Amino acid sequence: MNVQDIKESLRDFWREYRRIKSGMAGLILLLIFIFFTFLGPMFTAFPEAGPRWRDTTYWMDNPRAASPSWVNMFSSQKLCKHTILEEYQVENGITIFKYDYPYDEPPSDIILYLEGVGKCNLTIERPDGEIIPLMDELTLYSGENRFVLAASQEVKKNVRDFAIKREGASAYSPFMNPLLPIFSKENLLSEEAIPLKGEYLLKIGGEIKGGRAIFSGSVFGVLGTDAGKRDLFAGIIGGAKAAFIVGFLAAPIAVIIGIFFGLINGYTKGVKSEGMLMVNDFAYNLPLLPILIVISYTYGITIIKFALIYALLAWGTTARVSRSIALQIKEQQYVEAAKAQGASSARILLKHMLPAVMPYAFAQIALAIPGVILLEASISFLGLGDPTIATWGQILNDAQRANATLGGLWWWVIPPGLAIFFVAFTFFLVGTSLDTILNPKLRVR
Amino acid sequence: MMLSVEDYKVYYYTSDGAVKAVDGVSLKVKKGHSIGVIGESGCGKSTLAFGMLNLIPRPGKIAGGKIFLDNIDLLSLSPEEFRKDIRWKRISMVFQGAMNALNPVYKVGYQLLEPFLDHLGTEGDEEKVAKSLELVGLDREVMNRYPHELSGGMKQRAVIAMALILNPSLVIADEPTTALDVIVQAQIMNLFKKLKRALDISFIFITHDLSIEAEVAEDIYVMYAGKIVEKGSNFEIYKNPKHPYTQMLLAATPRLHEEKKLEFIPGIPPDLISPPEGCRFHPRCPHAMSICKQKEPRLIEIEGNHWAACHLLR
Amino acid sequence: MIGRIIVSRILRAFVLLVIVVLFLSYVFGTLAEERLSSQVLEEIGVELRSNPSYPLLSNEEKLEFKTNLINLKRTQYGLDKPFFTRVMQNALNVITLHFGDALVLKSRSGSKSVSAIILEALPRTVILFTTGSLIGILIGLFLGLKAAQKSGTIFDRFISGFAILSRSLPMWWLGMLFIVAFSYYLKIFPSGGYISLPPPSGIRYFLDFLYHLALPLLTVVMVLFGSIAYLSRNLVLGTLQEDYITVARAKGVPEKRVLYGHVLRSTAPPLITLSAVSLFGSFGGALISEIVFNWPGMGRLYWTALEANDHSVLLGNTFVTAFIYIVGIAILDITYGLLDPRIRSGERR
Repeated sequence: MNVQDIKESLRDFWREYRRIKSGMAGLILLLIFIFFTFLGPMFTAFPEAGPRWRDTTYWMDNPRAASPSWVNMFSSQKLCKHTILEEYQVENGITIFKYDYPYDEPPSDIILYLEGVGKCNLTIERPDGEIIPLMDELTLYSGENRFVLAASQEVKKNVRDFAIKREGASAYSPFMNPLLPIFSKENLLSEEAIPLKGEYLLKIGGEIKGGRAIFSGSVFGVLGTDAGKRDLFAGIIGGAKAAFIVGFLAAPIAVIIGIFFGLINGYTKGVKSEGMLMVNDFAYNLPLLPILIVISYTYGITIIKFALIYALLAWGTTARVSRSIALQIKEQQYVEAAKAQGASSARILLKHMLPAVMPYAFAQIALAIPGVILLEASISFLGLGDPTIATWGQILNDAQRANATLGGLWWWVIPPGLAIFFVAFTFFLVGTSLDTILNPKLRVR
Repeated sequence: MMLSVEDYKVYYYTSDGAVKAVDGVSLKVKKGHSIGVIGESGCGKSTLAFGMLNLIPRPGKIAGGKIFLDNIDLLSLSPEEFRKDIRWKRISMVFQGAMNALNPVYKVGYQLLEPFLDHLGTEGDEEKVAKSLELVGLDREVMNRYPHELSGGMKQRAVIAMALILNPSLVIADEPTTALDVIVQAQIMNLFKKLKRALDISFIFITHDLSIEAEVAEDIYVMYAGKIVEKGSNFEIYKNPKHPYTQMLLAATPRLHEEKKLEFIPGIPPDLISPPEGCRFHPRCPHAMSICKQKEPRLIEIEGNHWAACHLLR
Repeated sequence: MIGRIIVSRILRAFVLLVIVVLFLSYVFGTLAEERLSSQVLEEIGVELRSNPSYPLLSNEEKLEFKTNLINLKRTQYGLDKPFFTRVMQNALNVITLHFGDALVLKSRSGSKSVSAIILEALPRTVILFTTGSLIGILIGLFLGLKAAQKSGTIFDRFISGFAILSRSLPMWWLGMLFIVAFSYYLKIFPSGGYISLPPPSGIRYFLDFLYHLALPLLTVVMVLFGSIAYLSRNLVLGTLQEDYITVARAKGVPEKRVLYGHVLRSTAPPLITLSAVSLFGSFGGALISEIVFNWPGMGRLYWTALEANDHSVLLGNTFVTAFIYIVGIAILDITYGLLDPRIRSGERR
């Protein structure tokens, strides 16, 4: 087998592979997966979602358990989109945050982070020109100041007064959103409030050195947030990296170990071979899940450790088949010839037996990846995964703990599983196509 | 005439086109007589054999012609009728590569008994099975064995016994000795000779090995690229081959008593999807003329019962 | 011949089991050691504080007292024996199914014994998984056979596609989907548990149980039948191309018997092995699916034990799971050997 032969057989192989529709589909999906894994972080506002999954400060400004923002497309009632305003204008010594409000639901809260020193007042100007005073005296100390308006008694009183002034005193339900009257046109204090849509100006009577205004909504982002305020879209993208490492590290190593073990086993004779066969049988029959649970529980695990441990345990099936192939090849004439010529065992193994097993190896790697991805997902789902990064199983673990299924939080439950499915499915397509080419019995005219 | 095949055509309809495996084959078998069909691998012989049992695999279809067995138009029968009355009961087959012709998970005896159940609706007779086995030179004990316990030669004999179990009038033997070594080959051929004498059965021997035909077939048909290119009596074909292909086949056969240089037939078997224009053999024929490339030669009677299709014979 | 196979398989299973037990004992030995050590120190601390005469001792006397107490405690807990011995003792206990007491959890009946806890959970797992397996296998086999018969048609492609789909899904996630869809939105099925509270009586208990079983069962079956259908399709396809099948047809065997007699019979050995491998592969997934449905079997026991950090229960549960795996595979091997006459008359594989 020289380079020419290899190039030739690769070309033949590619021609064959191109014909299989499912295989080509799988290849395209694979490219999409790789694209998302490496370039995905560019498309999200939280590129460090993976390693910072457990860092609460990273997710501080997000809403809790918010649905994806595109839900609004499917309903007549536009839910309030969670908006974070980082830019503001300063006019005549007054800091203005411009807030666009086209929704049917008012923000559940307004949270201000302000840097500056001194005292200033806080008002909000509605699209209809009315100005509502919110706080008379906002005291800013050095460092970052945080103001949660819906919790402030002063704000609540001022807003209530404004509502009463406009519509007269009526039943005021303390459980209602205290900010509702700000954003309503009529029926300011009741549930039938009609929203006042337009541009609102949040004015701070003074110059600030920096800050942001968060208008809390119930929808957010491409895939919403979980109970820990984490952007799920960013999480999915962050988790792709873990899946990638697991897939491309664990499966190939396991298969390689298996191939070599099986080849050597098939080639040698006598006690050594029998012994290897016994070891192979054990490895083949090992129940992976319980063992991995135990190891992870006791010693903790990282993605890479998982991949390595898996590879050390899961080579059994490949080794078996590799051995039977080796047994067949061993009987072939050209092996006898090589031995007669005095070729060393290593040489025979590498030059004659390895090429016979290679095609099978590639198909096996592709077919093993779904299994290991599902295994890792299962371990993570149990809470025994890598605690330092986000993995899809991890996200689902959080979902299960938070009873997301019972709460109908479908955007938390569906996407991570879909991602796992996507990757597994991709490699299955590729793997079965490879297998079809190399296993002639499966071909139907 | 017991069996009459007229202008039989079988094509395989693949995504690359129609493979004309059998393209207008006619043959006749008299009761008690045997014929041999000779040709290279891939010339359509096996398809012919399967065709007569109506076992053509997908995507093959019968594209024309007729088959008459004892005046019954086989192709007009329904699949169920064919299965029950013709298959194995009147025509049976000895398969190529007996290594795999027997189901490894059933005992040999069971497999020989099966046809009784399917055709005669009876439980079958263990005695008949035993007799059949003995007829082919096997001990009746073999009934209780599994196929993998038998040697190659024994398996072939068992397969022959299986073919004979219902006393058919016609047995097709498709490459019955190809997978065997020379000594066993000779044994099997002797068995066939003996069976021919003892039973009133016609055989169709399909093979690429000329030396076999010589021993058992009265008439020989030479097949090339889906067509019969020469036919005649055993004697005529061997002594007086007229078609260049037949001649080259004979020349390629090693003979024990002659100091002959072995010739082989150059070129590769033709593509049956788009066979060569004119005479299908012309690309490999040493005597090819310009007319051979244009017009397909018809079978012409040379003398007596000897026919050949070649432009050289005008 | 058959006897030899059975014996060798049993032996192999046993050795594997022993290795697994040793491994588990070693791992949990290290855990137990840490825990016991800290427990010892805690107990000593409590004792010292509650002992009125202790503060009156001199420093050296205090030290001596403490040391004696520590040694006493260590002997009491067996911590003074070398690690290896303790591991072996542990292993022996596990093999003889003496799992000791749980650290935190209790069974429904209030027992602290790990065996009791596991024994409570085991039958529920068995019911769910065996029923699901049976249904899944039957449906899968039937569909796979049909697909092989009609290979190349849309039906066949659909089966193959569906099979790949179901093998790419985590079973437990499918369960989550089902809960969101059927329990939350459509409200047809209950969202978890195996019986309603308060439990109804008589025939209604049984029906209520079935009602709760439905969704988890559906999940198991969905995933299983896909992969079994695909496997059987491939195997049967391979067998259909064998010569002896053509021969059977040539012999005039009716198509039904060709399929269910010749094909199935000769495909049975690898079919059983591969189906069982599929089954065992799904066993882990089924266990985890219990968590999603709050089905109180061994799978959910893992979850509760992990939450409670109860490694006694974890050890016992892991052992029983591994045991089921290993014994199952051994039984499977034996069945395979019995079914294929080629294996029966020779160990050569």
